[in-house]
Amino acid sequence: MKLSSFFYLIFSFQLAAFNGFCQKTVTLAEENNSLKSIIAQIEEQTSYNFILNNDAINVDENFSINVIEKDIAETVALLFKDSKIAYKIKKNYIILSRAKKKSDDFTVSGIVSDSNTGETLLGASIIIKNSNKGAITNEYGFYSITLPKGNYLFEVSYLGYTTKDITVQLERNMSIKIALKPVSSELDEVVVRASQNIKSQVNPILGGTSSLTTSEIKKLPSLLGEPDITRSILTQPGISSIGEGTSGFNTRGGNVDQNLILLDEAPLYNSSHLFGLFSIFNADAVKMVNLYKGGIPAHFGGRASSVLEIRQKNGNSKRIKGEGGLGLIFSKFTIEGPIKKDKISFLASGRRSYFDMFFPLFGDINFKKFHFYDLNTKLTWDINENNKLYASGFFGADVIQFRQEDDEDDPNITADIGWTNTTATIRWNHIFSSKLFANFTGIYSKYDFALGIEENLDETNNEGTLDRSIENWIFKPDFTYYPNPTTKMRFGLSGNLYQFIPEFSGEYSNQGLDKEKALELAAYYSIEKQWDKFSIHTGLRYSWFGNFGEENIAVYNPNFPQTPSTIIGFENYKNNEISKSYHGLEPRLSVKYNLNDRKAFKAGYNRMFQYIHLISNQTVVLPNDLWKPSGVYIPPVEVNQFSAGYAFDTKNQDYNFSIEGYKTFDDIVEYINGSRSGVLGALGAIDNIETELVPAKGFSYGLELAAHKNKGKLTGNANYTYAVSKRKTKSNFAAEQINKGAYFPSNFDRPHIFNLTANYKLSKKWEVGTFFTYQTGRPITQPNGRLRFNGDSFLTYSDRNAFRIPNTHRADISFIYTPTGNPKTNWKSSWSFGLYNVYGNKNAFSVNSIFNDNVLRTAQLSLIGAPIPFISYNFKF
Amino acid sequence: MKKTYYHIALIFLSILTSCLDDIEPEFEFEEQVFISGLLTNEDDFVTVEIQKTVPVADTTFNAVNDAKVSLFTRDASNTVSLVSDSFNVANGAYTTSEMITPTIGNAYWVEVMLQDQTILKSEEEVLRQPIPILDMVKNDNTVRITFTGPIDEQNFYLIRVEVLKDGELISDNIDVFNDRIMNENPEKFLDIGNIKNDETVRVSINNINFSTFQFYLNVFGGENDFDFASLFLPINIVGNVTNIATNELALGNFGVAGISTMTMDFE
Repeated sequence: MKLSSFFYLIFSFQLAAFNGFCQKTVTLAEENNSLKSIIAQIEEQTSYNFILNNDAINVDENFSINVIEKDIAETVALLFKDSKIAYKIKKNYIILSRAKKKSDDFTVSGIVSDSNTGETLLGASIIIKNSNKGAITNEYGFYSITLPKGNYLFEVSYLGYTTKDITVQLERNMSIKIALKPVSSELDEVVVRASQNIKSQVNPILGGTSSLTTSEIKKLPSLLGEPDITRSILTQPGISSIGEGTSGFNTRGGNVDQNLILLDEAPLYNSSHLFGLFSIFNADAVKMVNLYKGGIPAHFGGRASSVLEIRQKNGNSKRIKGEGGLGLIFSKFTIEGPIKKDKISFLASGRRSYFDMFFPLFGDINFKKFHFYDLNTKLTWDINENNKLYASGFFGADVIQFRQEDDEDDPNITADIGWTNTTATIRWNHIFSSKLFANFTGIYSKYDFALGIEENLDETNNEGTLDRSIENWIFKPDFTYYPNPTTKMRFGLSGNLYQFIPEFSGEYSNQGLDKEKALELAAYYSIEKQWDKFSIHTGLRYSWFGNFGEENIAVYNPNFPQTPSTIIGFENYKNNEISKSYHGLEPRLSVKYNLNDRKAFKAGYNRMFQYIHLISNQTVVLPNDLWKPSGVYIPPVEVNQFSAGYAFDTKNQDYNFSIEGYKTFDDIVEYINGSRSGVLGALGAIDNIETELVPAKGFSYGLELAAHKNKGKLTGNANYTYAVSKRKTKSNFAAEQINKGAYFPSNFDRPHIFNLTANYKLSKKWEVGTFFTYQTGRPITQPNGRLRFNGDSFLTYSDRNAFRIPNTHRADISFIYTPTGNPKTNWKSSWSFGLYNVYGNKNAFSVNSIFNDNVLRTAQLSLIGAPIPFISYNFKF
Repeated sequence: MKKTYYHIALIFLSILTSCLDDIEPEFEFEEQVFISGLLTNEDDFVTVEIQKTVPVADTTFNAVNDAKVSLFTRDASNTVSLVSDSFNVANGAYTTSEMITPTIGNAYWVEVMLQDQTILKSEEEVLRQPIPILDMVKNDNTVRITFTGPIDEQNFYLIRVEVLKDGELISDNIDVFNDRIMNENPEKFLDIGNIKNDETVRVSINNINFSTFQFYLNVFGGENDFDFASLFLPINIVGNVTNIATNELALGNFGVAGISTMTMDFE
């Protein structure tokens, strides 16, 4: 008790001492005296000190105060009452700062659209005249600018449209719908682009982005006259492919499956018809194509190398409009219009090939069916000023029936093969406030491959069907907040349920593929901020991926390579039980420094995770290739990319130049030597696909140079890419190592690629387009010896990809003739004709050596080894 | 049905391969050594063949006759012993000077020392029990061979089917199989089609190890069709032979197999 009293006493003395030494009252009688002097008196009379920034606080400003023995807090409050100085008392310090002015800012927001069609314009520019401030419309044509109260002149512009000046008297929050008038209404499409000069890389903060207009795509010479979005992507720097006529493309050293291809936000798993000869995208239904290969915003995720974002037109909300084309091998037709003017519009666009109708003319052709068709649809409902609803869909199918007649070795075989892409997207735009735009998206996407086989043996018939699909159910709430004209924030969530569904019957019923389920969840935040010369776009994405049962997963002896013989058991996961999960942070950063309005330096860093994988045979991507989710034995792909570049526009932006270098570091999987996963795995004939794969790492680096000419009769671009892409297996087992664990070139390592595109307007009616490409031959594995075993000759092979096929080059030309239309009608037409592969170069696709009756034969395969002429008639009303 | 898979792939490629031109490239030559051999449970002389590869356009056989070959075994008690290092050499074929009596359950391997002191060693493979062939029954033109395989482990088979008529060999097929998918049933079937009356069928089933299975898979997987060749990654015919200095796989394989044979005449 005595002890506790002692401690109380000690503490009481300390408290009294503290308060006694801490003088808190002030006496002042100052009239228009400087702040500096008043501060000095307060500091003298009390134990308080002031902290202030001389740049923010004017200490020579005069103040008046009259207090006697007044508490310090009350004194300071009285002193700065009605002043522009704010204060904070913390311990014995009084911190002064400039008071935030009570906001008198207002926001003007709205939609920018085409005055003729009502089509929203994505990427239209709204510049506040006599300032460097402005905004760009988002993917839905929405803009938001917050400014202090006042009068402003907005300059609204968009390529192909008449620039419009709008006077804005900003006294309250306002909503202004802006309609721009197209410069001309030629047959040529509505030109859609993201800024006034689409090719300039000076304005975008993100490096390595490309935008393509449908009119540009239509001007490119194309195979059999059909504008092809995938081929137009191949004309961009940093993009390559295994060979012409193959499906997909490779971006900066990444695999084909590392490109996220989105059609109205729905992911597509096979973007080709007829094995890569044609793209599944109908240019007549497309509004915008954006390719992100450098800076990839945080709201995109799920693939490791690039994003190809394609958005469909909304449909004309003013009047019924149609367009179409008749070609040698297929035709197309698009119709769009209002269901209720300016409220509800629709679009339907379809294509159908019919070259199989000519097959009966060639008796020896075994294809009974061989065609494709696709249909794009969209419905847009402008509910009210703050709500808009979009429902869009795509269905594309390839149909093939093949019959092989009996020969000595093989039975009669009838095969029905088909693959379809189906997507359905529903989006709800809601404007919560003039600064907060939200979009809620629900997506269903399905890719389906089906195969039916009937074998007629001597005595018996074997039948079997295989149907394999990958389904996605996606929900994405996405928000964009515009706090001021130089800042934009975007944040949201994404949930993606994957289902990999194999169905077998008959002869295929014993195949080993199981149904698989996986869930990918992500949350992201990004901010875009611009100062006078410096701009930043940075973000962070967190993704989580889980692979769910029910499944039986093999357990391997860890002391041996993963082979069917080293399985020591199986682990069973119940329905919806997580067999394996992965997660990670994906930072994204892009910065830009403008030397002036025509020159800019850029740098960026991206990390991307990819949780699903295309199991292909690595040479040709085929429609039956297998998609697999990450799991116990297949880790996610991780790509880290660093990039830096310089962009330069000449005066008046007649020419745009850009140079960009990049380096990526990849964690991937590779295929073991002799892997047959592409064919047998895809057909379900390999139980444990992980035994065909080996963990690997890789890197890519490159330099991309591009020049564009935008004005005058001659327009076009030239680009050169130097790129290196290498791989290396990480296994400790000699049997799994490729090239003894050393780095080797990836299958699509093509160091030098040069592309040249040019369009020349010969007259009002005639236009000519040309394209030329030169590319280093892709790597191949080549024989380096032979031996004899059991009486047969066998080849021995070099290290993987130690040699290359010959370099490839090709030139295409097209002419567009647009006759003068009848001014009394809306009907307009044009003829397009030309030659693909003008000089018929036989570009090697592969070189293979085989033994036939012990005689070695080596042959070069060329996919399109002759000039292919085309002609098509296009119309519009 | 596997062949059907290839046909499907061919369908895909036949669309793409519009132009095929014979060329005569000059391939760079890299000399390598290839070792092959198969030891079975039967009392017999054991032969190991050793050759060097030749340039692609060369059709000669480059036998290695100056290597030193040793055959080893490891018994159940883990004791290693030399079975033989006495081989008679003829055109790259090294045959033991004495007949060998292998023991089921023992592991066997060869070590080959080349003239340049390089040592190549095959993997230690266990000699497995022969697979009993139960019966061969002809139904119409199809002969069904029934055999048993243990269900408690995965089995790999090298099966040879010879068809003879009047004592003359008219067809000889050899292929590898595994029972991973249908292992729950100890009785397995193999159907041979197109067998006519008056023909004799001789079937031999080798119960092999995985590495040897993989080797023969590589051997039989070599495509002789250009379209198919485009579909697959090329592979060297490697199996269980390793260069012990570098721990890298070398060409070839020395397999160990329990063998069973049945011959039947069909009237």
